[in-house]
Amino acid sequence: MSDCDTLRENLFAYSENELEPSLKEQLDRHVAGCGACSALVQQFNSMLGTIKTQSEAEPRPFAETRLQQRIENYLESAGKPLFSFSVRTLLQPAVISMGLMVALAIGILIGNGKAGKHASLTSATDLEMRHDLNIPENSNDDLINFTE
Amino acid sequence: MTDQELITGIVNREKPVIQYLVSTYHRQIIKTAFHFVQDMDDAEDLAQDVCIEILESAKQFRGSATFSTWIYRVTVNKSLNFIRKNKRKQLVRQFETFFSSSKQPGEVQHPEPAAENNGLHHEENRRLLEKAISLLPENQKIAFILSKYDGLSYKEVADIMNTSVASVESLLSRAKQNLQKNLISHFSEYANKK
Ligand SMILES: [Zn+2]
Repeated sequence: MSDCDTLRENLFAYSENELEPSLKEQLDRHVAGCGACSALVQQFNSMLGTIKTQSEAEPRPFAETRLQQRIENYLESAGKPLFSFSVRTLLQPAVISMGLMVALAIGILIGNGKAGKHASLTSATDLEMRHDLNIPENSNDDLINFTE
Repeated sequence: MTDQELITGIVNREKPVIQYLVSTYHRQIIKTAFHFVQDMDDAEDLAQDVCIEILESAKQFRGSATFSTWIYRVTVNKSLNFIRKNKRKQLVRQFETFFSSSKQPGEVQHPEPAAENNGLHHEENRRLLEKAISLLPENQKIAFILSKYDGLSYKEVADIMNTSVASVESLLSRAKQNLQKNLISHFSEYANKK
């Protein structure tokens, strides 16, 4: 492998001074006498230099003030933390128990002899079928009529 | 303020604690987001998303990582999502700036190795590097940006990426190989001389 190729293979490590001393010396000597490699190293170093300027870029003035304001706006509008929390915690059990009551009512209806052959239908299947057939969950229409 | 006090305050929506959160971490969040998306406006928007995510998911914070590590994770995820969603927009932006700052587009694609005009070359170099980084696989990109731009230690990067220091070293090594390969191919004058 020529020194030019060796440099290209190790360009990053060479530019960051992370090569073992003997290889570094070898490439230093080569770069000093090779215009193309010297230009390449120069170009690569100035490119790595842009990392420093980018990493030193600071947020714009009053970025913190703007962010504080945006977070405050969020909490006041969409967030509504306390309200939404209490509504959610209140609603969740209510929805669950309403669902259970509907399921129970359907179960009683089915169990009341109307459902002779369909007793094996679970209330979940029942609800699914009602949904597929577009029958309101709380309607008294019986699925039997549709499945027979 | 300890991480636990911070979390409790956030969960309870205590205004002074939330102000402390923004005041303490806004710079870290904006800077990291900027290193990923390379635009200060977008970075500020992302900082808002990051803070809201922190407010909304503080309850789930289990303390297996430090609060700062967690904020880094959320910032990296939000930034990567942003990049994925805005790939097309960013390409257009790169394309526009690519041609607007240069009289002859060809010159930008094949910059002179010896920088005569430092200001212009700095901008070209920055864009070339940005482009090369954008082509890295995501994990290499995260490791490279957090290490080189945010200046974090391998251990800190490993914590954020939830991996080992050895993995981070390997990711960085591969990232550097990919970057030098990609960048050298841009230095056409050098290549022509070969
Ligand atoms: Zn050479």
